[in-house]
Amino acid sequence: MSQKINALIVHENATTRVNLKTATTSVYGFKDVRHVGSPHDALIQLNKDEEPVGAVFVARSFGKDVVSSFIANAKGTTRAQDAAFILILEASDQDSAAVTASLVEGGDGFLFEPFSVDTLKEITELAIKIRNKRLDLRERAAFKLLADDAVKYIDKVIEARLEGRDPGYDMKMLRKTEQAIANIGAESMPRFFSELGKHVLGLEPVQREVPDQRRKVKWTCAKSPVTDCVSGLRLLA
Amino acid sequence: MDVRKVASDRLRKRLEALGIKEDPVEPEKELSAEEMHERLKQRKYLRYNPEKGEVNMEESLISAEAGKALVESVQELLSQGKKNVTVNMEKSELIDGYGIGRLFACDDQIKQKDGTLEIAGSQDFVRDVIGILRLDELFKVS
Repeated sequence: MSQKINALIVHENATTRVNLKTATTSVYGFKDVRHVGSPHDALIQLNKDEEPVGAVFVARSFGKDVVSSFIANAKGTTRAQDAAFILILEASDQDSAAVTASLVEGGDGFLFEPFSVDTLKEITELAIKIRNKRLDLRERAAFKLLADDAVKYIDKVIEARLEGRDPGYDMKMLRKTEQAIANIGAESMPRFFSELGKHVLGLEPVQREVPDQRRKVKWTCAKSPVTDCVSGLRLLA
Repeated sequence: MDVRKVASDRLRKRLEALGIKEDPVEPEKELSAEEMHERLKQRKYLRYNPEKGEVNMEESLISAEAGKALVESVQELLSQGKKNVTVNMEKSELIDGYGIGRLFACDDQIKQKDGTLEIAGSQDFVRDVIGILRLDELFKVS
């Protein structure tokens, strides 16, 4: 396991927070672990412009509604959008109903006190898997949109050129998508090509009226009805 | 009045008067490799060089015919044992989404044979499209 994740612990009990933070130091896989006393403070942390958080440990003792709402809000932040949400259950919660309920509340996993190194190892692996999966899904959705847009504007620019129109607006939009594609990291390019391939392989040829260059006749002003008639006859011939 | 229909009716009447019957239209038969080779050579959308493993596009890659001709030519080259295929786009002024799709289709087939697709001699617009979509990271572009 070469990837390391940052974590955030949200628990009202300072001793429990410190115990969990200490336990994470014994597990390879955690980078920066911070702790806060309430979901409100956690959201402030998650809205900071810092490195992404891979795992958020949140105490179920805050109550079902508070936890659900916190997870929903945290998933909307840039730092925790791909994080795994682990619910900290008390020793007394070790029944299937409590565990099931914790997962229904939006958690990806659960952890009982006292914290064991083995469980934390499993959680780290789970968090990395979840992060990679969410990242993959999110990227694919974004790349699909980007590929669709790029191809749409390429086709529009061609249409404008064939019809002799200025492709100004479509060209401007195409340059915008170009900028977005240029910003894709090398590790994400295979996913972009996969989405682009899926899109373009399914396209049907567009029936276009390609103007015949030979029919382009330059009309000049006729000086009199006679010359007008003559030039008209020449064209017909 | 449909001039073509009138002309064709007149021609048929003359042939009948001379006692010549029109040939019935033969159903399209499956072509042999040689016939296919000849057919591909004569296509107006591309020239085809099996010796060099090259397909030279003669038109923009924006029509069904040009796209079909390209995919068929690449298939033919692969069936002749070529692994690496060069698509020369010197004469292709434009490429649209459908055309890009045909390049992806060719690339898929070539990769199945562990070969590489090379796009050569592209014009301004085609080069621009390749740059925008970063296709030079997928195909070999020269």
